[in-house]
Amino acid sequence: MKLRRILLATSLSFACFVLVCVIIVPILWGLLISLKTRVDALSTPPRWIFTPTLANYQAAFVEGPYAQPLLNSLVIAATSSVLAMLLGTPAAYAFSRSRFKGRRAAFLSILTVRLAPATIIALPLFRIFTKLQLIDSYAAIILVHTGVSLPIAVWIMKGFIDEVPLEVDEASLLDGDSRFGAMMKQVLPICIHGLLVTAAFCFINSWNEFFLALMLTGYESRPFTVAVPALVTPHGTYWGQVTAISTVALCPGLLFAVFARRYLVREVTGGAVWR
Amino acid sequence: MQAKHQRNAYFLAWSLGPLFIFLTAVFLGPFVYMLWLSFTDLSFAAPDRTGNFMGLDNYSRALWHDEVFLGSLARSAIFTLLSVSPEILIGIIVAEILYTRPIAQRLLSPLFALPVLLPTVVVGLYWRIMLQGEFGVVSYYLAELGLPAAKGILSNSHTILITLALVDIWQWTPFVALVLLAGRSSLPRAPLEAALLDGASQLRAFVDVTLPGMLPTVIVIGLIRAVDSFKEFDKVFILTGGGPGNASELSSIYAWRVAFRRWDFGYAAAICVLIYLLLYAVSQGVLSKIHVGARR
Repeated sequence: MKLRRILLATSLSFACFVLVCVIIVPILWGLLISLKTRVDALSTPPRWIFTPTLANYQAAFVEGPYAQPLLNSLVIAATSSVLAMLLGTPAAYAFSRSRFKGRRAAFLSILTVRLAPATIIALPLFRIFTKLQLIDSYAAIILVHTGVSLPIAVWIMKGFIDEVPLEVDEASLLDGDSRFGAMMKQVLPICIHGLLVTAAFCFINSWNEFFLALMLTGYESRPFTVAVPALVTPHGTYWGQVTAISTVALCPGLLFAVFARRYLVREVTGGAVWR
Repeated sequence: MQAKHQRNAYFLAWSLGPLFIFLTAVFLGPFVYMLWLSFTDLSFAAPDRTGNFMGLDNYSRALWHDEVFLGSLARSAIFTLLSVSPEILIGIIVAEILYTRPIAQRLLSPLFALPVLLPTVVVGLYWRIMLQGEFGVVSYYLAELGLPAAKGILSNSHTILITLALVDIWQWTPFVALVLLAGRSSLPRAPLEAALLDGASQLRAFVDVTLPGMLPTVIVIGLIRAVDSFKEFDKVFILTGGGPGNASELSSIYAWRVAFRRWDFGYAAAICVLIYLLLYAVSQGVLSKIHVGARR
């Protein structure tokens, strides 16, 4: 009986170990390739031990033009997440505090937007932005990413505001504050961490987005998600540079995983609960 | 009372007004425009097709004359099934293992959150590097283990959907496990303890008590994953571009190709509307049973 228990514990730890390896190896391998010379990267059998070099990073960011797409990604993600928070926070506050006709319908319509495939807006927006000559402008992609982030921002922010007791608002309203004042002065300071987490999630969302950026940006405004796959060509690919840019590009996600992961579960499922 | 009512209306106007104006501009407006396009013959490749109204022609063409489109829908469905069901199954097992081990939980959860937070483009590129025939590390070791076919794993049209599903499973299973763990942790302990006291075996108690309790969470995350999986574009686009041939051409990739390679915009719009209707019908069926925002 005891032996069986030890055996079970060992095999479970082993299973955990395998799981960890399976998750880490692809990310680690990408990092290793970015630190290899071309000869090391393309060698068979694969080399695990080699002399690391930063040549790929230099080739991509100093000599090559690939700092610009990362900068574009930063501008697009930062601006769109700030805009989404500005528009989304008051709405989240209203959904949390008010009872009004059509509240559930309005909230469900926001949900429906989350379920819609990106193709459904990419097609008409491509045509509209072409007519307005806004293709390959920051404005176009920022606007669209704000729209995509907004439902998520409202959804998550509502969860955070729900946790603030109603008495906080009531006290503030009795003091003669307006609704806006109560929100700004009393409620939001209490859930400042919620604001940060929500903004960070919108940022990651835009930073990682590929399809809409592929359709709506051009050479000048393209984020790294569009620029990096373009490096992969049938005539030969600088995998070193591809992985170098990728390694830099996965930093926001890494930071989020370390610092804000406990909010992740509820962000994606949005606190949807079975009735 | 009148003043309070007015103030409330004013509050709703400034808090929700901008949101709905914005969503109308970015979603509803373009969507209505696309509905209109789907009834026209607009094409950027043929000069005489300037957007003339042609009724339901695009729809009948998609549903009755375009086998590639129907095939792409089938491939999307197969891909969804191949990726989501293992994700849920492994997720349930991993959640159950982690549930009783708080230390492992704390150590592993940042790692588990990581794959879904990475840009899908990067995930696609990393796996493309590892599955490359000439120098890919995974295909090399698989070949060493006696599977020489692994060298051509990305160009094998019979197994390509399985390969792509495995990449999706890599990216999403840890996260699904985290969600299910959260659902598992919120279950009351008493029924399970009672079952064990009554002499039920661990397995029996798990199947009869724990699993039914977790069903809501399983359905919610299953639906979210199924919808996302059916829409899958990024990883497949990066890994295979829909190939070899059109063996991995999912519906989203087909829609993209019709719109942005053949420039057959009216027809592509009709395809997108059909895909959306399908997703909408399925998810509404499930969503209608979910109480949104029930935490309050």
